[in-house]
Amino acid sequence: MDVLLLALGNVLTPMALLTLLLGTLAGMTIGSLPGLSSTMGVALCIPITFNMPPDLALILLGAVYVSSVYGGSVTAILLRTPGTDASIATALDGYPLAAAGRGSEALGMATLASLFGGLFSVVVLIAIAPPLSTVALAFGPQEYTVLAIFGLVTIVSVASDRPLKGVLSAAVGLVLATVGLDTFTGMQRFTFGHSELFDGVPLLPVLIGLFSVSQAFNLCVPAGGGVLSGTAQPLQGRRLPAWLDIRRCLRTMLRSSVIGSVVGILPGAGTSIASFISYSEARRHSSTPERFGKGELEGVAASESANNAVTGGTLIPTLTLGIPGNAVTAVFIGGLTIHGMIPGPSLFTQHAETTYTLILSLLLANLLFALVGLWLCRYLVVVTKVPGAVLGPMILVFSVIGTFALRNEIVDVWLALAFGVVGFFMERWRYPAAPLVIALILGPILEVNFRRSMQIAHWDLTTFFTRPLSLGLCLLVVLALAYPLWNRWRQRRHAPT
Amino acid sequence: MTLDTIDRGVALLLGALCAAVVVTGLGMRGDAGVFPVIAGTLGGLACLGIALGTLRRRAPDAPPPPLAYQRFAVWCLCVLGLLLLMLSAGTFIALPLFVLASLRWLGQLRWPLALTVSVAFSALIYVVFVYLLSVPLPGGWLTP
Repeated sequence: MDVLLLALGNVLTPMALLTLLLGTLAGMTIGSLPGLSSTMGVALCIPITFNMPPDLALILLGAVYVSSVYGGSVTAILLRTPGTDASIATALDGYPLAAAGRGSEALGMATLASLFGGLFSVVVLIAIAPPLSTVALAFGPQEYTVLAIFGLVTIVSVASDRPLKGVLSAAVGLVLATVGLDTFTGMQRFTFGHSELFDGVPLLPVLIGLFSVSQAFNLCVPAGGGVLSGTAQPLQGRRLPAWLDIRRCLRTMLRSSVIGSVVGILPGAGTSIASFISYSEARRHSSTPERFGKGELEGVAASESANNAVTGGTLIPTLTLGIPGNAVTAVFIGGLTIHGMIPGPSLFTQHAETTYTLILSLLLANLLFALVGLWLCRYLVVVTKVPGAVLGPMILVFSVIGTFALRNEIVDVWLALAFGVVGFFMERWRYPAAPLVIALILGPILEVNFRRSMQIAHWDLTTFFTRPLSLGLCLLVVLALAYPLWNRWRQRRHAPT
Repeated sequence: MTLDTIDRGVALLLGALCAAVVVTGLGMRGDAGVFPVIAGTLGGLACLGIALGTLRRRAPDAPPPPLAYQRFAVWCLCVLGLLLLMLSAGTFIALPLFVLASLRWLGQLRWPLALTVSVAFSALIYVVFVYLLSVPLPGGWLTP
């Protein structure tokens, strides 16, 4: 308790609050720009922290991390250009809301849901970090394999009303995920001798291409195109979501926050899986599932509370065991070690004051981005009134420069443009792009863990059903596959003949 | 062209690609080909399902909105020009020209407004990416 009070004192100093504010604003900006990920934001800030005291350094890194995840939702909702893969699910309902003139309401809900998810995960981090991290350690290759399959099944079922098109999109993503040097045998797969492909198809250029570049095409190509649909009155919605809507979404936010925190604890699982699983669960529990994908506030709330809950979740194994949950926390570990703090149990004993300062600063960062976000959403939404032919070139330039900034490789830019054209036609022909991107993310996790499981079990497939955790996840996969089929059968049975 | 015809074409093209992936995967050393075979088979089955779905008797899907071919071609040329000019002349010659051309030809903005927006936007890109983030964007002719 004394440590918590000392940490609170550290966070509430004027210098700490200023650092927090600057970190929050920087994180929101970085998260909203295509190509600039949370990882890059935290990595860019590390050199700035070299000469800072450890407390302030960690406050800055923490603020950039949590607010950049939220920042991705702003452009995902208003322009359908998710800054990161964490916000793809947000765009599914956020953009239709913006197109209907209810962008401000959607942004407000995204902000409140992000705040809810963020605060929930920090409370989890403070309260039950060590026992939860031991659960994460119980996950072996079998569990990761089934979890990745669960993620894929979930995404295919929510991303399109034509599941076969979703399956094809995911299969293309899985094939693309096999490109590059095989990590087990060292064999080149589908590289055609190009050294640029040895590391595989890079994720971010594909993500930027399919979502941002294709959106630039969607805005520019039709004469008189724009974000607002033809029938929508500009900004006809409320400035903030109604209390009734917030109350309706509370259960979804709580469920999604739990999912986000749990998925966040699992190393390598990622924010996009948490968002899509939560989105799918929200739709499954909703009394009006048919409204999902067409502009449902609950969809935005599910995705945003989950992806922000991941931030606290990923820090649990990072701080307690020294195992980074994702790329951002791996960079975070770099930041900690620079300041002489070795991640692991010693953080909660030797460096308890600084560690709790970081955790409390995450709480404040969540509150701060929510305040800034709620204040800004009424102004940000004006962007939806800008004609498409003006917005399009700007989105394209940000996409091109953002993609180049990833590795300073012009090949990435060509790749983003190629996938932009593919994404443009995919949307016209009603093939969902989200399963392709998510399959590209989950493909390596699935393959590596599947092959590891098979090597351990000598190609005995029953290994997935003999471990309790793996069996539980298998049942979830069966449920995720069977539920939509059962639902469709029930609808057909009750439909008037 | 109806959506069913497009779906059939996509299924044929991607089905052939998936078959090629499966065949290549089967020839790979050790267990390196297992995952490509699984992914290719999944894709092949999805293509088969889509193709068979188009043959079923049902209400046709609404066709995609008509494509404005002329604007699509102009936009593609602008984008291609941006990339080529970025590599040869440099980023900060290509960017304002691209934005100006797009705003003028596609957005129908008046010259002074289009010029102001393109210069201001390029300046913003310079501040964010070159000044703040130190990204070494292609310099081209402006590089000493």
